[in-house]
Amino acid sequence: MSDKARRSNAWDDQHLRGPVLYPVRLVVKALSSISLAVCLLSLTVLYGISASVPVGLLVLAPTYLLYGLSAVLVAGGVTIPAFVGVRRLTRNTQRPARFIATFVVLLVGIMGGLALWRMFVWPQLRYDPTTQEGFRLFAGFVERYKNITLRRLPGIEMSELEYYAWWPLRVILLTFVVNMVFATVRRIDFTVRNIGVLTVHTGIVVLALGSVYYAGLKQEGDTLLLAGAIDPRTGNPSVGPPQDMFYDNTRVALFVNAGNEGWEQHPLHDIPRYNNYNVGATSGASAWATGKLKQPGAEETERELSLPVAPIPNSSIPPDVSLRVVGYAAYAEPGTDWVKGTTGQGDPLRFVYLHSQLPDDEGHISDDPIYTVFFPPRSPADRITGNDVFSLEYTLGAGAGMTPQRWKDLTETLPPRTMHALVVEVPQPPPGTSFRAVYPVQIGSALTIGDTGFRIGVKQLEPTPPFPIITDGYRGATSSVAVVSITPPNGEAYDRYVYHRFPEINQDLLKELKPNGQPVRRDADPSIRVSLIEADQLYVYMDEPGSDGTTRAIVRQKGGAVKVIDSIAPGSRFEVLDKVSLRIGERWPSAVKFERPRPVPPEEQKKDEVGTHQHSMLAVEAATTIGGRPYTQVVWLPFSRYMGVMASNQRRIDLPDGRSLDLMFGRLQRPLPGFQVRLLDFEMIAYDHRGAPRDYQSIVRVVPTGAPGTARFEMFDHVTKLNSPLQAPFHWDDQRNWLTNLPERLVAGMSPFQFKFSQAGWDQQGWARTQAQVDAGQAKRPIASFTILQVGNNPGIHLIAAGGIMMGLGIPWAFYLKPWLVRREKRRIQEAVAAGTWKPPHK
Amino acid sequence: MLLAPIFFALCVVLGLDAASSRGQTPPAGNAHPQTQLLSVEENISNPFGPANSDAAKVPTREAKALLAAAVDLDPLRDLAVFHNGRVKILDTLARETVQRMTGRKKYAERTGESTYKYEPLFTLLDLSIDPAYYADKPIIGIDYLNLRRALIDLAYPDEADQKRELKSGAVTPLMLQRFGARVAQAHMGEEPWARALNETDQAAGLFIKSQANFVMVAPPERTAAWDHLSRLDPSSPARRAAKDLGAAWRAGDAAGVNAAAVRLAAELPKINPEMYPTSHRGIELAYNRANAFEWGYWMYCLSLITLLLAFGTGRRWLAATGATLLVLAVGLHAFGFVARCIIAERFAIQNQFESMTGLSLFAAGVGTAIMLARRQWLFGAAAAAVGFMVLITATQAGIPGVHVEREAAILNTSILLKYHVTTVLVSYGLIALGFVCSLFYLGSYYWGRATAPAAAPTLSAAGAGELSAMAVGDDPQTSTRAKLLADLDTAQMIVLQLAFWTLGVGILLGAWWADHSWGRWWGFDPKETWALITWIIYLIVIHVRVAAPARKGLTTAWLSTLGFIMMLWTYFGVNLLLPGLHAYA
Repeated sequence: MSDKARRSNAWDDQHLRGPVLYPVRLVVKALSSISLAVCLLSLTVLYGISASVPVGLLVLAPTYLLYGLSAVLVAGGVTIPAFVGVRRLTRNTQRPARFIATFVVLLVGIMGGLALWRMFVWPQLRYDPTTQEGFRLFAGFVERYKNITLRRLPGIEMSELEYYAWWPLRVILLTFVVNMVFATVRRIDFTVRNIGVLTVHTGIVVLALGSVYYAGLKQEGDTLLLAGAIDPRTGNPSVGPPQDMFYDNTRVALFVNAGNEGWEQHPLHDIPRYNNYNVGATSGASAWATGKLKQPGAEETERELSLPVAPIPNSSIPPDVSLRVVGYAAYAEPGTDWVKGTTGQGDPLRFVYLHSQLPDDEGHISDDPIYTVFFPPRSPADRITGNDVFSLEYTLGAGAGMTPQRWKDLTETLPPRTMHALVVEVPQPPPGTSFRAVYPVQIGSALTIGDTGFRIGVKQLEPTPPFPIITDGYRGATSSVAVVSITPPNGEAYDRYVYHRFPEINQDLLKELKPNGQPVRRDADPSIRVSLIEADQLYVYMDEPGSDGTTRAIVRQKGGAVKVIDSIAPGSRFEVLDKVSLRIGERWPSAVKFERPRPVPPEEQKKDEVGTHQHSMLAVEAATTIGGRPYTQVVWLPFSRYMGVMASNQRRIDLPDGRSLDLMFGRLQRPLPGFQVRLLDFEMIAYDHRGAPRDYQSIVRVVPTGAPGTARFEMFDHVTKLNSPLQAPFHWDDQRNWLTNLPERLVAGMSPFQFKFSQAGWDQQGWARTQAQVDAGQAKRPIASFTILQVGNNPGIHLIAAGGIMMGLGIPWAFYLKPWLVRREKRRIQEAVAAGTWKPPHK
Repeated sequence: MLLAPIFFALCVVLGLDAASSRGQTPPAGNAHPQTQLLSVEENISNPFGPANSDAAKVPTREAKALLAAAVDLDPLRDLAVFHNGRVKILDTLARETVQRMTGRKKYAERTGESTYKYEPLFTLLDLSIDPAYYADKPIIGIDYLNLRRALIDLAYPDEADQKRELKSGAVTPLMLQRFGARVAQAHMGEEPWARALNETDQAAGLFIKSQANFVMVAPPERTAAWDHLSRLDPSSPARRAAKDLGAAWRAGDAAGVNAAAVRLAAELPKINPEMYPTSHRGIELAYNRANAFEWGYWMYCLSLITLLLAFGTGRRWLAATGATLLVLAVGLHAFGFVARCIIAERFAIQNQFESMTGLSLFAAGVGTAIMLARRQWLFGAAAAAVGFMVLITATQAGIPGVHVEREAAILNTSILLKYHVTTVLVSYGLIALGFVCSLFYLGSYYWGRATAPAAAPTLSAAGAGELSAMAVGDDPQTSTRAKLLADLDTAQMIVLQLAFWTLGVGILLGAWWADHSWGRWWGFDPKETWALITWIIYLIVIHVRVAAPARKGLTTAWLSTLGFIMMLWTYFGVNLLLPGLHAYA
């Protein structure tokens, strides 16, 4: 204990007495203690560990300790007896020989013990996650939380910076600083020899104060600068459009455009990052929920979220409409669900359940459906589903997909082992009669159609159309297609596209060519009708011909065998394969499409994009009162990283009274204070001989904004490179002397309105594409169409730097100068004592 | 120090890939450039003429070994070749290719009773000239035992054959061709299968297209790309020399091969000679041949053993020998480091391997300097221990970055980086050095208690007195156990104080660089956090010594051990397990 600490304690004993002051004394004593500092530092260490190490990894620690212990036990078991033995044997030998013997025995014993452990123990202990064999404590927990840090758990949901800015660490660090100030004042003499430790402690306090100022005003994000149009003469880009804002790194906002008044920004708070909340949020009954469709992350649909979107002044959102965040999917892809519509809205929807009487892996046979399918039969693109093994289709009679003619064609009996067949019909006199035949076909089949004079050649049998279907109402739909060549009795041959699913859109392609070189198309010539029957896998056609809800079905097995079921009552099943059946489920008279998140399983997520909102979706509920009745509607918004620049993720809420709201979810946009930035040019600088990129440079122009004459700086250009950021609005102007620059530089160092722009990203694909054009002689130089600059202010950085420098200088004083000063003083005292001139200092 | 490789292995075994949301987004140029194993992706003709595809013409193992022994490929070794983003020499390309393909430094095969190890350059050329020879040879190295076993089980029904083939550590290209797809289909998407399958796929790609990497024709200017040997005009002397070399090789004509090699080596530098590298080639060849880091750890090991024996036996000649070996080891180590800097054209501390060779050099250098300055051999032993353990880990534990490659762009555009990284690496080296001193302290403390718990004088009789004398250069008669421990405490504090200061300054320099480069001086990136935690451990050491002076030496030694573990975690664990902005560290 130092003299000063003793004096401080003595002062306490003398002055801090009595029932009132005694607690004060305890607090002062605690705050002056080094033990408290050690405890607080240890807590800081633990906090850092909790922030950065996944929980699963922390739980793994005891397992590895036991692994280590087993190795130590084996090595010790071998070494210790050998050690004791050699010490006894060499008791009477000379010391060098005894040492060498002991050394060798220890070395061999330890290495041998470890080798034994490696050969015999480790194979038993080693845990294999794929087979779950071996020894691991809490293996399930470890596996589940192997990537999850404490801050990512539901209820915390913080980024690294947010977690470190949380109150527990603030309390710890604040107490540490107070503790350090108390301990410094009460324990350390303010002498020259102690300047080192005093400087270090002062440096920490200055750094802490600077950090508080810095953290309170810090803004950071990035901005995207677009290149201007390319000058065809020089190949260089012109000045790009001005950018006057940047996108925040962590904060997000809801953007609303009500009645085309323009986008307004509503900052959002407490939005999660890592976990799903209420991913089942919909506007009404959902087909996914009704059909109990299994979704990754489905267990998280129960986790509630309700965050009101705070109104902003002069908002264009109607006052009777309120917005609320009601769901969040952390990492998802948009999926298509259907929600029950009000009468007259949307199309009917039919649920069909797949049941299996086959035992599962554990031998159980369940009566629950193993899969649910829902069909909106009016939508050609959605009424068909299947895979490589089976295909299901649900139609609504003649009005939606199943004309009597198609039903008749599909129910035709085929010879065994038929994979594809054509039904051919040629109308013949008298009216109402026709030639009709069914032909099993394969590619290359040549058919003579009875004595009608028609001949047909099968050119292609494709599982999907050679070109996407663009007929109105059928966009996005798909069907197998037979491309056949039809030769009429007296005419030129032409090709016909015969669609299995949509015979009504069959087309003829004539030999005659259009001016653009493409064949002339026409609707299928009615003088011969061709339809395609497929039997290359299991096909099930379910049809609802009337309005009584009764369904009929055709089951066509692979190879051609057909079973026709004329009536299936709702709720009853029919077998499609041995022990596999379908059940016709509920029917909604109307349903509308609803886009909602389909969570991506963790193993398929890009790790560095988790927690960045990059693949997130946000559910926003609009609530209002219409006609005296409350009305709510939910919409899921995909995240937009660069709102207004990249692909639009805009979604709309249409209220029943005709009003509408456009919504977007993206990063908070912050204005650049008093200036704009424009891209003049960009260059990627590679290592020699086109090696890897060595540097990137964006030549940018900083332009002051505001009324003429009010700008505090003149427009300037700057080359922003890696490690060479742009400073704005203040920049060191070489045209002025340093005495003019310096004060402004110091002020800028404290100002929250001084920004730094660093090279952060660029248009790599565009650069590579145009570089290839240059190599091919088609362009003058490679071009990047945009550059991304990281933006951040640095308020109080000089204070922080000053604190750091004080620490850096104080430590060597404390470690090296102070001992030297003490030694010198000792020597002087010793010399003085020897000379008899020494006088003890007065205290 | 055994902890270092164990720690690294642990991190690799755990292989967790934690995701994080960072306060900062990594800027362009922060990532390591993608490794490009094959220089030319498209099909390219073989510069050595059509490869032999006739099974009947495949030479015997004995004939191949005879040819390998007879040819002289030295003229070709230092020819320049552009590969994976930099101009290197053919010898380096050959070493890298063989290492990547076989998983070993040299391809070896048994001929009769003996095993013949082929020079990497011979193998590289032979793969292009006579690939059919390798179709049924185990040349595709597979580390992952389960994958190797799956392929071998399919290829060999007999159990004895399976056991024999498993030992080779590799599979044949034929096995991969026949069964690779089946095994891949069964296990794709499963870790660690997926990683092993990917690595095997890369190795197979190297085997199939090894001729794609002979990009050996210098361009006319710096901005132009190097060209492939086979794109030279067929009548050009270099192209003809390459063809002749291939023809002679296939004919088993060693003299013809040697003559063609000399011609090729003479002709290639004549093409755009102003762009053809000169002095670096010789240095790179010397670097490859010296194998300084591997010889270095052996010398450190010998030095360590000699110095430890010197402590125990009190023989001064052993101490002198140990010190001399240490100085030689540091010299060899320094040569390797400097040569690598010249070859890489940068301060070579930018990946895990380089930082390990750098930090151990700094630690060994500082330890040796203190040893010589204070005449205390203890520091030499600590330096040798650090040099030995770090270098053996770097060279033998599969540490990434062994091959010289271009590094992340952001690392090459700042002078601050050199100061930041160097200071931090110096501190890591000192922490390791301090840890060894603390181990000596703990060893002496507990050895003393175990061998003579009663009193200090007995210790002296047990040799601790002489040990102290050796360590501090004092008179043996006056030494006691307490004196020994006091001296060891002083030694550990000398190093740890320096480590504490350099680590603190290194962190602050990093903050300065981060502010400049990433726009934020402190972002709680895992690397930053853990460097701070490590620093705090030593901060605790300093304060505990003030607060509890009674057993400060012992407490310091244990905390130094903890600090060393924390440093290892910061150094290895954070890189491998906790993603962050220090992607390259």
